[in-house]
Amino acid sequence: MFQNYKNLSGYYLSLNSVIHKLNPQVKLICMILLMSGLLINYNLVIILMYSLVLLPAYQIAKIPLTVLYNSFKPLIWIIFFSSVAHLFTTPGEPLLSIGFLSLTVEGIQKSLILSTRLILIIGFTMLTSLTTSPVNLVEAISSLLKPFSWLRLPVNQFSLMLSLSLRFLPVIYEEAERIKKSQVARGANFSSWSLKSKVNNVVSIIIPMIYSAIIRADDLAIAMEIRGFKIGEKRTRLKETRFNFIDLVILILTIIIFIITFFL
Amino acid sequence: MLYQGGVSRSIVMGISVQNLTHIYNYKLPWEFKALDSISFSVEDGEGFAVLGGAGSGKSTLAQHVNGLLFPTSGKVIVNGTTVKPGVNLLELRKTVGMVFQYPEAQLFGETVFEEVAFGLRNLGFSEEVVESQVQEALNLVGFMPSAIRHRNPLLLSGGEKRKVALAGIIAMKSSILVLDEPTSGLDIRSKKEVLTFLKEYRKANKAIIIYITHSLEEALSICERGIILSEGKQVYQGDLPEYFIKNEDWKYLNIEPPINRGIALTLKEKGLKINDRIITRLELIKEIEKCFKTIKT
Repeated sequence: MFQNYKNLSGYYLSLNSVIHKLNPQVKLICMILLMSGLLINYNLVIILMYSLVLLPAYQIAKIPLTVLYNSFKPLIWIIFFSSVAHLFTTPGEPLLSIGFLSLTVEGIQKSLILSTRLILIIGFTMLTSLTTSPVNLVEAISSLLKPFSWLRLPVNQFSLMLSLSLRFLPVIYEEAERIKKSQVARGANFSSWSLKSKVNNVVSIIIPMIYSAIIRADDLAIAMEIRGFKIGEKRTRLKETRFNFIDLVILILTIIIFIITFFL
Repeated sequence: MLYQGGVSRSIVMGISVQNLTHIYNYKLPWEFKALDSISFSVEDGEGFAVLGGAGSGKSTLAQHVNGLLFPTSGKVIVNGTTVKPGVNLLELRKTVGMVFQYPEAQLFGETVFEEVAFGLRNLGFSEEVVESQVQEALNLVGFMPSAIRHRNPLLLSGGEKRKVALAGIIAMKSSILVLDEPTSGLDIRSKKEVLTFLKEYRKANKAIIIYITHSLEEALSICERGIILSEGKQVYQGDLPEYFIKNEDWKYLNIEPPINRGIALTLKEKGLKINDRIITRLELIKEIEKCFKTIKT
Protein backbone atom coordinates (compact mmCIF):
# COMPACT_ATOMS: atom_id res chain seq x y z
CA MET A 1 0.00 0.00 0.00
CA PHE A 2 2.68 2.47 0.96
CA GLN A 3 5.31 2.25 -1.73
CA ASN A 4 6.16 5.92 -1.60
CA TYR A 5 8.51 5.87 1.37
CA LYS A 6 11.42 6.01 -1.06
CA ASN A 7 10.40 9.62 -1.63
CA LEU A 8 11.52 10.22 1.92
CA SER A 9 14.34 12.67 1.49
CA GLY A 10 17.74 11.01 1.88
CA TYR A 11 16.41 7.54 2.58
CA TYR A 12 18.79 4.73 1.57
CA LEU A 13 18.41 3.49 -2.01
CA SER A 14 19.63 -0.04 -2.40
CA LEU A 15 21.43 0.08 -5.76
CA ASN A 16 24.53 -1.72 -6.95
CA SER A 17 27.36 0.77 -7.39
CA VAL A 18 30.97 1.36 -6.34
CA ILE A 19 29.89 4.11 -3.94
CA HIS A 20 27.30 1.84 -2.34
CA LYS A 21 30.01 -0.75 -1.75
CA LEU A 22 32.49 1.65 -0.12
CA ASN A 23 33.34 1.22 3.52
CA PRO A 24 30.73 3.27 5.45
CA GLN A 25 33.37 4.72 7.77
CA VAL A 26 35.35 5.94 4.75
CA LYS A 27 32.20 7.45 3.26
CA LEU A 28 31.44 9.26 6.50
CA ILE A 29 35.01 10.59 6.84
CA CYS A 30 34.99 11.73 3.19
CA MET A 31 31.67 13.51 3.68
CA ILE A 32 32.96 15.28 6.81
CA LEU A 33 36.17 16.32 5.01
CA LEU A 34 34.36 17.62 1.92
CA MET A 35 31.79 19.53 3.96
CA SER A 36 34.49 21.00 6.18
CA GLY A 37 36.45 22.01 3.08
CA LEU A 38 33.41 23.86 1.74
CA LEU A 39 32.81 25.59 5.06
CA ILE A 40 36.44 26.59 5.65
CA ASN A 41 37.23 28.20 2.33
CA TYR A 42 35.14 29.12 -0.69
CA ASN A 43 35.59 30.81 -4.04
CA LEU A 44 34.53 30.12 -7.62
CA VAL A 45 37.37 27.65 -8.29
CA ILE A 46 36.70 25.66 -5.11
CA ILE A 47 32.97 25.53 -5.87
CA LEU A 48 33.75 24.28 -9.40
CA MET A 49 36.16 21.65 -8.07
CA TYR A 50 33.64 20.33 -5.53
CA SER A 51 30.88 20.34 -8.19
CA LEU A 52 33.16 18.24 -10.38
CA VAL A 53 33.39 15.77 -7.48
CA LEU A 54 29.70 15.71 -6.62
CA LEU A 55 28.08 15.36 -10.06
CA PRO A 56 30.17 12.37 -11.26
CA ALA A 57 29.69 10.81 -7.80
CA TYR A 58 25.91 10.81 -8.33
CA GLN A 59 26.44 9.29 -11.79
CA ILE A 60 28.65 6.54 -10.37
CA ALA A 61 26.14 5.89 -7.56
CA LYS A 62 23.41 5.55 -10.26
CA ILE A 63 21.23 8.05 -8.44
CA PRO A 64 19.24 10.32 -10.78
CA LEU A 65 19.66 14.04 -10.17
CA THR A 66 15.86 14.29 -9.74
CA VAL A 67 16.38 12.66 -6.32
CA LEU A 68 18.87 15.41 -5.45
CA TYR A 69 16.43 18.04 -6.70
CA ASN A 70 13.65 16.55 -4.53
CA SER A 71 15.92 16.91 -1.50
CA PHE A 72 16.39 20.63 -2.21
CA LYS A 73 12.70 21.33 -2.66
CA PRO A 74 11.98 22.05 1.03
CA LEU A 75 15.07 24.31 1.17
CA ILE A 76 14.49 26.20 -2.05
CA TRP A 77 13.09 29.28 -0.25
CA ILE A 78 16.00 29.39 2.21
CA ILE A 79 18.47 29.25 -0.68
CA PHE A 80 16.47 31.88 -2.58
CA PHE A 81 16.24 34.38 0.30
CA SER A 82 19.90 33.97 1.28
CA SER A 83 20.90 34.56 -2.37
CA VAL A 84 18.71 37.68 -2.65
CA ALA A 85 20.11 39.01 0.65
CA HIS A 86 23.70 38.60 -0.56
CA LEU A 87 22.81 40.00 -3.98
CA PHE A 88 21.85 43.40 -2.55
CA THR A 89 23.92 43.68 0.62
CA THR A 90 27.42 42.92 -0.69
CA PRO A 91 29.48 46.09 -1.11
CA GLY A 92 31.24 46.60 -4.47
CA GLU A 93 30.85 48.09 -7.92
CA PRO A 94 27.13 48.89 -8.37
CA LEU A 95 25.40 47.66 -11.52
CA LEU A 96 21.88 48.79 -10.60
CA SER A 97 20.50 50.85 -7.70
CA ILE A 98 16.95 50.63 -6.30
CA GLY A 99 16.62 53.12 -3.43
CA PHE A 100 19.21 52.28 -0.79
CA LEU A 101 19.74 48.79 -2.28
CA SER A 102 22.35 48.29 -4.97
CA LEU A 103 23.06 45.25 -7.08
CA THR A 104 26.81 44.70 -7.36
CA VAL A 105 29.05 42.40 -9.39
CA GLU A 106 30.51 41.11 -6.14
CA GLY A 107 26.95 40.53 -4.87
CA ILE A 108 26.08 38.37 -7.90
CA GLN A 109 29.30 36.38 -7.46
CA LYS A 110 28.81 35.90 -3.72
CA SER A 111 25.15 34.91 -3.97
CA LEU A 112 25.96 32.38 -6.72
CA ILE A 113 28.86 30.92 -4.76
CA LEU A 114 26.98 30.75 -1.45
CA SER A 115 23.85 29.15 -2.89
CA THR A 116 25.93 26.60 -4.83
CA ARG A 117 27.93 25.90 -1.67
CA LEU A 118 24.72 25.20 0.25
CA ILE A 119 23.52 22.90 -2.57
CA LEU A 120 26.88 21.10 -2.55
CA ILE A 121 26.80 20.57 1.23
CA ILE A 122 23.29 19.11 0.99
CA GLY A 123 24.39 17.05 -2.04
CA PHE A 124 27.29 15.42 -0.17
CA THR A 125 25.12 14.66 2.88
CA MET A 126 22.42 13.16 0.69
CA LEU A 127 24.95 11.09 -1.25
CA THR A 128 26.15 9.50 2.01
CA SER A 129 22.67 8.72 3.31
CA LEU A 130 21.35 7.58 -0.10
CA THR A 131 24.22 5.11 -0.58
CA THR A 132 24.69 3.84 3.00
CA SER A 133 22.13 1.62 4.69
CA PRO A 134 20.98 2.86 8.11
CA VAL A 135 22.60 -0.15 9.81
CA ASN A 136 25.98 0.59 8.20
CA LEU A 137 25.63 4.28 8.88
CA VAL A 138 25.02 3.70 12.58
CA GLU A 139 27.92 1.23 12.68
CA ALA A 140 30.19 3.81 11.09
CA ILE A 141 29.09 6.56 13.47
CA SER A 142 29.54 4.37 16.54
CA SER A 143 32.99 3.19 15.44
CA LEU A 144 34.04 6.81 14.86
CA LEU A 145 32.67 7.71 18.30
CA LYS A 146 34.45 4.79 19.99
CA PRO A 147 37.32 6.91 21.35
CA PHE A 148 34.73 8.80 23.43
CA SER A 149 33.90 5.63 25.40
CA TRP A 150 37.30 6.05 27.08
CA LEU A 151 35.82 9.19 28.59
CA ARG A 152 33.00 6.94 29.89
CA LEU A 153 30.47 8.48 27.55
CA PRO A 154 27.53 6.11 26.70
CA VAL A 155 28.56 5.50 23.07
CA ASN A 156 26.84 2.07 22.87
CA GLN A 157 23.54 3.42 24.14
CA PHE A 158 23.81 6.35 21.74
CA SER A 159 24.40 4.01 18.78
CA LEU A 160 21.46 1.83 19.79
CA MET A 161 19.23 4.88 20.08
CA LEU A 162 20.41 6.08 16.69
CA SER A 163 19.93 2.71 15.00
CA LEU A 164 16.41 2.31 16.43
CA SER A 165 15.49 5.83 15.32
CA LEU A 166 16.77 5.19 11.80
CA ARG A 167 15.17 1.75 11.69
CA PHE A 168 11.76 3.22 12.51
CA LEU A 169 12.01 6.25 10.24
CA PRO A 170 10.34 4.59 7.22
CA VAL A 171 7.77 2.92 9.47
CA ILE A 172 6.83 6.25 11.03
CA TYR A 173 6.81 7.88 7.60
CA GLU A 174 4.44 5.22 6.25
CA GLU A 175 2.26 5.56 9.33
CA ALA A 176 2.09 9.35 8.89
CA GLU A 177 1.16 8.88 5.22
CA ARG A 178 -1.55 6.38 6.12
CA ILE A 179 -3.03 8.60 8.83
CA LYS A 180 -2.91 11.60 6.49
CA LYS A 181 -4.73 9.64 3.80
CA SER A 182 -7.35 8.50 6.34
CA GLN A 183 -8.01 12.10 7.36
CA VAL A 184 -8.04 13.28 3.72
CA ALA A 185 -10.62 10.58 3.00
CA ARG A 186 -12.71 12.22 5.74
CA GLY A 187 -12.54 15.56 3.97
CA ALA A 188 -9.49 17.09 5.69
CA ASN A 189 -7.97 19.69 3.37
CA PHE A 190 -4.23 19.87 3.95
CA SER A 191 -3.72 22.48 1.27
CA SER A 192 -6.06 24.95 2.95
CA TRP A 193 -4.53 28.35 3.89
CA SER A 194 -6.87 28.88 6.85
CA LEU A 195 -4.90 28.83 10.12
CA LYS A 196 -7.74 27.16 12.03
CA SER A 197 -8.01 24.28 9.56
CA LYS A 198 -4.20 23.99 9.37
CA VAL A 199 -3.96 23.58 13.16
CA ASN A 200 -6.90 21.17 13.17
CA ASN A 201 -5.37 19.07 10.40
CA VAL A 202 -1.93 18.93 12.02
CA VAL A 203 -3.54 17.81 15.29
CA SER A 204 -5.42 15.09 13.39
CA ILE A 205 -2.07 13.62 12.34
CA ILE A 206 0.12 14.32 15.37
CA ILE A 207 -2.11 12.82 18.07
CA PRO A 208 -2.52 9.40 16.37
CA MET A 209 1.21 9.45 15.54
CA ILE A 210 2.27 10.09 19.15
CA TYR A 211 -0.20 7.50 20.40
CA SER A 212 1.07 4.80 18.03
CA ALA A 213 4.73 5.76 18.65
CA ILE A 214 4.26 5.30 22.41
CA ILE A 215 2.58 1.93 21.88
CA ARG A 216 5.30 0.86 19.44
CA ALA A 217 8.09 1.95 21.81
CA ASP A 218 6.45 0.03 24.64
CA ASP A 219 6.13 -3.11 22.49
CA LEU A 220 9.74 -2.78 21.34
CA ALA A 221 11.05 -2.42 24.90
CA ILE A 222 9.15 -5.55 25.96
CA ALA A 223 10.31 -7.47 22.86
CA MET A 224 13.95 -6.52 23.57
CA GLU A 225 13.71 -7.36 27.26
CA ILE A 226 12.18 -10.80 26.70
CA ARG A 227 15.03 -11.57 24.31
CA GLY A 228 17.57 -10.82 27.03
CA PHE A 229 18.69 -7.34 26.02
CA LYS A 230 20.78 -5.58 28.68
CA ILE A 231 21.94 -1.96 28.51
CA GLY A 232 25.71 -1.55 28.50
CA GLU A 233 26.56 -5.13 27.45
CA LYS A 234 29.28 -5.49 24.82
CA ARG A 235 27.77 -6.40 21.46
CA THR A 236 29.22 -8.22 18.48
CA ARG A 237 28.34 -7.56 14.84
CA LEU A 238 26.76 -9.95 12.36
CA LYS A 239 28.80 -8.54 9.46
CA GLU A 240 32.20 -6.92 9.85
CA THR A 241 32.92 -4.16 7.33
CA ARG A 242 36.16 -4.39 5.34
CA PHE A 243 38.64 -1.75 4.29
CA ASN A 244 39.50 -2.38 0.62
CA PHE A 245 41.96 -0.84 -1.82
CA ILE A 246 39.23 1.31 -3.42
CA ASP A 247 38.40 2.72 0.04
CA LEU A 248 42.04 3.74 0.44
CA VAL A 249 42.08 5.40 -3.01
CA ILE A 250 38.89 7.37 -2.32
CA LEU A 251 40.13 8.42 1.12
CA ILE A 252 43.48 9.65 -0.26
CA LEU A 253 41.76 11.54 -3.11
CA THR A 254 39.41 13.23 -0.66
CA ILE A 255 42.28 14.21 1.63
CA ILE A 256 44.10 15.70 -1.39
CA ILE A 257 41.00 17.72 -2.36
CA PHE A 258 40.64 18.87 1.24
CA ILE A 259 44.29 20.01 1.39
CA ILE A 260 44.06 21.75 -2.03
CA THR A 261 41.09 23.75 -0.71
CA PHE A 262 43.43 25.63 1.64
CA PHE A 263 45.71 26.73 -1.19
CA LEU A 264 43.04 27.97 -3.64
CA MET B 1 -4.74 -16.11 -17.35
CA LEU B 2 -7.75 -13.83 -17.46
CA TYR B 3 -11.17 -15.30 -16.80
CA GLN B 4 -13.68 -12.74 -17.99
CA GLY B 5 -16.84 -13.66 -16.10
CA GLY B 6 -18.43 -10.24 -16.54
CA VAL B 7 -18.47 -7.56 -19.20
CA SER B 8 -17.08 -4.06 -18.73
CA ARG B 9 -20.04 -1.72 -18.91
CA SER B 10 -20.17 2.01 -19.46
CA ILE B 11 -22.27 3.51 -16.67
CA VAL B 12 -23.23 6.99 -15.50
CA MET B 13 -24.08 6.24 -11.85
CA GLY B 14 -21.59 3.96 -10.21
CA ILE B 15 -17.93 3.26 -10.73
CA SER B 16 -16.15 2.46 -13.96
CA VAL B 17 -12.46 1.57 -13.98
CA GLN B 18 -10.91 1.42 -17.44
CA ASN B 19 -7.42 0.02 -18.08
CA LEU B 20 -6.14 1.40 -14.79
CA THR B 21 -2.38 1.19 -14.38
CA HIS B 22 -0.58 2.64 -11.38
CA ILE B 23 3.19 2.91 -11.10
CA TYR B 24 4.73 4.15 -7.86
CA ASN B 25 7.82 6.37 -8.25
CA TYR B 26 7.14 6.58 -11.98
CA LYS B 27 10.21 7.07 -14.19
CA LEU B 28 12.61 6.54 -11.29
CA PRO B 29 14.98 3.53 -11.22
CA TRP B 30 12.98 1.97 -8.38
CA GLU B 31 9.56 2.46 -10.00
CA PHE B 32 7.06 -0.22 -9.08
CA LYS B 33 4.01 -1.27 -11.08
CA ALA B 34 1.30 -1.86 -8.47
CA LEU B 35 -1.63 -2.16 -10.92
CA ASP B 36 -1.58 -3.30 -14.51
CA SER B 37 -4.53 -2.60 -16.87
CA ILE B 38 -7.39 -3.19 -14.45
CA SER B 39 -10.93 -2.82 -15.82
CA PHE B 40 -14.27 -3.33 -14.12
CA SER B 41 -17.50 -1.52 -13.38
CA VAL B 42 -19.83 -1.42 -10.40
CA GLU B 43 -23.44 -0.33 -10.61
CA ASP B 44 -25.52 1.54 -8.06
CA GLY B 45 -26.42 -0.53 -5.00
CA GLU B 46 -24.01 -3.33 -5.89
CA GLY B 47 -21.54 -5.07 -3.60
CA PHE B 48 -18.21 -5.63 -5.32
CA ALA B 49 -15.28 -7.51 -3.82
CA VAL B 50 -11.60 -6.96 -4.54
CA LEU B 51 -9.80 -10.17 -3.65
CA GLY B 52 -6.12 -10.93 -3.58
CA GLY B 53 -3.19 -11.80 -1.38
CA ALA B 54 -0.76 -9.40 0.28
CA GLY B 55 0.93 -7.09 -2.23
CA SER B 56 -1.57 -7.81 -4.99
CA GLY B 57 -2.53 -4.13 -5.38
CA LYS B 58 -5.91 -4.17 -3.62
CA SER B 59 -5.28 -1.11 -1.45
CA THR B 60 -3.73 0.85 -4.32
CA LEU B 61 -6.86 0.17 -6.36
CA ALA B 62 -9.10 1.33 -3.49
CA GLN B 63 -7.30 4.65 -3.17
CA HIS B 64 -8.06 5.53 -6.79
CA VAL B 65 -11.81 5.54 -6.15
CA ASN B 66 -11.44 8.24 -3.49
CA GLY B 67 -8.92 10.38 -5.40
CA LEU B 68 -6.14 9.63 -2.92
CA LEU B 69 -4.12 8.32 -5.86
CA PHE B 70 -4.42 9.14 -9.54
CA PRO B 71 -3.88 6.66 -12.40
CA THR B 72 -0.53 6.57 -14.20
CA SER B 73 -2.64 5.57 -17.21
CA GLY B 74 -6.26 4.58 -17.69
CA LYS B 75 -9.40 6.06 -16.17
CA VAL B 76 -11.46 5.89 -13.00
CA ILE B 77 -14.97 7.32 -13.37
CA VAL B 78 -17.13 7.81 -10.27
CA ASN B 79 -20.78 8.77 -10.88
CA GLY B 80 -19.87 10.14 -14.31
CA THR B 81 -16.88 12.21 -13.07
CA THR B 82 -13.37 11.20 -14.09
CA VAL B 83 -11.07 11.13 -11.05
CA LYS B 84 -8.05 13.21 -12.02
CA PRO B 85 -6.01 16.09 -10.56
CA GLY B 86 -8.09 19.25 -10.62
CA VAL B 87 -11.54 17.72 -10.00
CA ASN B 88 -13.47 18.80 -6.93
CA LEU B 89 -12.06 16.22 -4.53
CA LEU B 90 -14.16 17.43 -1.60
CA GLU B 91 -17.32 16.68 -3.60
CA LEU B 92 -15.88 13.27 -4.53
CA ARG B 93 -15.14 12.51 -0.88
CA LYS B 94 -18.72 13.40 0.04
CA THR B 95 -19.80 10.63 -2.33
CA VAL B 96 -17.06 8.10 -1.60
CA GLY B 97 -16.38 7.12 2.01
CA MET B 98 -13.24 5.14 2.64
CA VAL B 99 -12.29 2.93 5.56
CA PHE B 100 -8.64 1.95 5.70
CA GLN B 101 -7.13 -1.15 7.26
CA TYR B 102 -6.94 -0.65 11.04
CA PRO B 103 -8.97 2.58 10.88
CA GLU B 104 -8.64 3.01 14.65
CA ALA B 105 -5.12 4.34 13.93
CA GLN B 106 -6.72 7.56 12.67
CA LEU B 107 -8.54 8.36 15.95
CA PHE B 108 -7.52 11.64 17.57
CA GLY B 109 -10.67 13.36 18.88
CA GLU B 110 -11.04 14.22 22.56
CA THR B 111 -14.43 12.53 22.60
CA VAL B 112 -16.20 9.97 20.43
CA PHE B 113 -18.58 12.71 19.28
CA GLU B 114 -15.72 14.97 18.12
CA GLU B 115 -14.13 12.04 16.33
CA VAL B 116 -17.25 11.07 14.38
CA ALA B 117 -18.07 14.72 13.64
CA PHE B 118 -14.60 15.41 12.11
CA GLY B 119 -15.51 14.36 8.57
CA LEU B 120 -18.90 16.08 8.62
CA ARG B 121 -17.38 19.39 9.76
CA ASN B 122 -14.70 19.14 7.07
CA LEU B 123 -17.42 18.73 4.48
CA GLY B 124 -19.09 21.92 5.72
CA PHE B 125 -22.28 20.56 7.32
CA SER B 126 -24.12 22.75 9.84
CA GLU B 127 -23.86 21.90 13.56
CA GLU B 128 -27.49 20.67 13.65
CA VAL B 129 -26.86 18.27 10.79
CA VAL B 130 -23.58 17.18 12.43
CA GLU B 131 -25.39 16.48 15.71
CA SER B 132 -28.17 14.43 14.13
CA GLN B 133 -25.92 12.48 11.73
CA VAL B 134 -23.39 11.62 14.46
CA GLN B 135 -26.23 10.33 16.67
CA GLU B 136 -27.59 8.28 13.79
CA ALA B 137 -24.18 6.84 12.86
CA LEU B 138 -23.39 5.86 16.45
CA ASN B 139 -26.79 4.20 16.67
CA LEU B 140 -26.22 2.34 13.40
CA VAL B 141 -22.93 0.81 14.49
CA GLY B 142 -24.61 -0.45 17.66
CA PHE B 143 -23.70 2.17 20.28
CA MET B 144 -25.96 3.97 22.69
CA PRO B 145 -25.04 7.53 21.64
CA SER B 146 -25.69 9.13 25.05
CA ALA B 147 -23.49 6.55 26.78
CA ILE B 148 -20.50 6.79 24.47
CA ARG B 149 -20.41 10.31 23.01
CA HIS B 150 -18.32 11.85 25.81
CA ARG B 151 -15.84 8.97 26.14
CA ASN B 152 -12.23 9.18 24.98
CA PRO B 153 -11.96 7.12 21.75
CA LEU B 154 -8.35 6.14 22.50
CA LEU B 155 -9.44 4.39 25.70
CA LEU B 156 -12.03 2.13 24.05
CA SER B 157 -11.50 -1.56 23.24
CA GLY B 158 -10.19 -2.63 19.80
CA GLY B 159 -13.66 -3.56 18.50
CA GLU B 160 -15.23 -0.37 19.86
CA LYS B 161 -12.50 1.78 18.28
CA ARG B 162 -13.13 0.10 14.93
CA LYS B 163 -16.85 0.85 15.24
CA VAL B 164 -16.16 4.51 16.09
CA ALA B 165 -13.91 4.77 13.00
CA LEU B 166 -16.66 3.18 10.89
CA ALA B 167 -19.25 5.56 12.37
CA GLY B 168 -17.00 8.46 11.31
CA ILE B 169 -17.36 7.38 7.68
CA ILE B 170 -20.98 6.29 7.85
CA ALA B 171 -22.00 9.65 9.34
CA MET B 172 -20.97 11.23 6.02
CA LYS B 173 -23.80 9.21 4.39
CA SER B 174 -21.67 8.31 1.40
CA SER B 175 -23.37 6.53 -1.46
CA ILE B 176 -20.15 4.61 -2.14
CA LEU B 177 -18.21 2.87 0.64
CA VAL B 178 -14.71 1.57 0.00
CA LEU B 179 -13.64 -0.77 2.78
CA ASP B 180 -10.06 -1.97 2.98
CA GLU B 181 -10.09 -5.17 5.06
CA PRO B 182 -12.34 -3.58 7.69
CA THR B 183 -12.49 -6.69 9.88
CA SER B 184 -8.79 -7.50 10.10
CA GLY B 185 -7.64 -8.01 13.67
CA LEU B 186 -11.18 -8.18 15.07
CA ASP B 187 -12.55 -11.04 17.18
CA ILE B 188 -15.28 -13.27 15.70
CA ARG B 189 -18.14 -11.43 17.40
CA SER B 190 -17.00 -7.96 16.34
CA LYS B 191 -16.31 -9.27 12.83
CA LYS B 192 -19.86 -10.61 12.59
CA GLU B 193 -21.30 -7.34 13.89
CA VAL B 194 -19.36 -5.27 11.35
CA LEU B 195 -20.35 -7.54 8.45
CA THR B 196 -24.03 -7.56 9.46
CA PHE B 197 -24.00 -3.81 9.78
CA LEU B 198 -22.43 -3.34 6.33
CA LYS B 199 -24.97 -5.65 4.76
CA GLU B 200 -27.83 -3.67 6.28
CA TYR B 201 -26.24 -0.34 5.37
CA ARG B 202 -25.97 -1.41 1.75
CA LYS B 203 -29.59 -2.53 1.62
CA ALA B 204 -31.01 0.50 3.41
CA ASN B 205 -29.04 3.11 1.44
CA LYS B 206 -28.75 1.28 -1.89
CA ALA B 207 -25.07 2.06 -1.53
CA ILE B 208 -22.20 0.66 -3.53
CA ILE B 209 -19.80 -1.29 -1.34
CA ILE B 210 -16.32 -2.06 -2.57
CA TYR B 211 -15.04 -4.66 -0.15
CA ILE B 212 -11.32 -5.38 -0.15
CA THR B 213 -10.29 -8.64 1.44
CA HIS B 214 -8.29 -11.85 1.08
CA SER B 215 -11.15 -13.94 2.44
CA LEU B 216 -13.82 -15.13 0.03
CA GLU B 217 -16.09 -16.06 2.92
CA GLU B 218 -16.26 -12.42 4.01
CA ALA B 219 -16.55 -11.14 0.45
CA LEU B 220 -19.51 -13.42 -0.25
CA SER B 221 -21.39 -12.21 2.81
CA ILE B 222 -21.59 -8.73 1.26
CA CYS B 223 -20.83 -8.98 -2.46
CA GLU B 224 -22.04 -10.97 -5.45
CA ARG B 225 -19.41 -10.04 -7.96
CA GLY B 226 -15.78 -9.18 -7.68
CA ILE B 227 -12.32 -8.99 -9.09
CA ILE B 228 -9.32 -11.14 -8.21
CA LEU B 229 -5.88 -9.57 -8.31
CA SER B 230 -2.45 -11.15 -8.28
CA GLU B 231 0.74 -9.07 -8.37
CA GLY B 232 -1.20 -6.10 -9.73
CA LYS B 233 -2.81 -8.06 -12.55
CA GLN B 234 -6.46 -8.89 -13.00
CA VAL B 235 -6.85 -12.67 -12.77
CA TYR B 236 -10.65 -12.84 -12.83
CA GLN B 237 -13.65 -10.57 -12.89
CA GLY B 238 -17.26 -11.66 -12.40
CA ASP B 239 -19.32 -14.06 -10.32
CA LEU B 240 -17.17 -15.14 -7.37
CA PRO B 241 -18.71 -18.52 -6.39
CA GLU B 242 -18.50 -19.52 -10.07
CA TYR B 243 -14.75 -18.84 -10.11
CA PHE B 244 -14.09 -20.86 -6.96
CA ILE B 245 -16.14 -23.79 -8.26
CA LYS B 246 -14.66 -23.88 -11.74
CA ASN B 247 -11.02 -23.10 -10.99
CA GLU B 248 -8.24 -24.34 -8.80
CA ASP B 249 -5.65 -21.57 -9.25
CA TRP B 250 -6.92 -19.64 -6.20
CA LYS B 251 -4.67 -21.99 -4.22
CA TYR B 252 -1.67 -20.09 -5.56
CA LEU B 253 -3.11 -16.59 -5.07
CA ASN B 254 -3.01 -16.47 -1.25
CA ILE B 255 -6.78 -16.23 -1.04
CA GLU B 256 -8.74 -17.96 1.69
CA PRO B 257 -11.20 -20.37 -0.03
CA PRO B 258 -14.82 -20.65 1.08
CA ILE B 259 -14.77 -22.61 4.34
CA ASN B 260 -17.23 -25.24 3.04
CA ARG B 261 -15.13 -25.89 -0.06
CA GLY B 262 -12.11 -26.25 2.22
CA ILE B 263 -13.90 -28.90 4.32
CA ALA B 264 -15.01 -30.79 1.21
CA LEU B 265 -11.47 -30.76 -0.18
CA THR B 266 -10.05 -32.10 3.10
CA LEU B 267 -12.68 -34.87 3.21
CA LYS B 268 -11.81 -35.78 -0.38
CA GLU B 269 -8.12 -35.91 0.48
CA LYS B 270 -8.98 -38.25 3.36
CA GLY B 271 -10.52 -40.67 0.84
CA LEU B 272 -14.21 -39.77 1.00
CA LYS B 273 -15.93 -39.78 -2.39
CA ILE B 274 -17.34 -36.29 -2.19
CA ASN B 275 -17.99 -33.59 -4.77
CA ASP B 276 -15.76 -30.70 -3.68
CA ARG B 277 -17.22 -28.17 -6.13
CA ILE B 278 -19.44 -26.54 -3.52
CA ILE B 279 -19.69 -23.14 -1.85
CA THR B 280 -22.62 -23.03 0.58
CA ARG B 281 -23.16 -24.86 3.86
CA LEU B 282 -26.34 -26.46 2.46
CA GLU B 283 -24.43 -27.94 -0.47
CA LEU B 284 -21.84 -29.34 1.93
CA ILE B 285 -24.50 -30.94 4.14
CA LYS B 286 -26.15 -32.52 1.09
CA GLU B 287 -22.81 -33.91 -0.11
CA ILE B 288 -22.01 -35.38 3.32
CA GLU B 289 -25.50 -36.93 3.49
CA LYS B 290 -24.93 -38.50 0.07
CA CYS B 291 -21.64 -39.95 1.30
CA PHE B 292 -23.29 -41.44 4.39
CA LYS B 293 -25.98 -43.05 2.22
CA THR B 294 -23.33 -44.58 -0.06
CA ILE B 295 -21.40 -45.90 2.93
CA LYS B 296 -24.63 -47.45 4.41
CA THR B 297 -25.55 -49.19 1.17
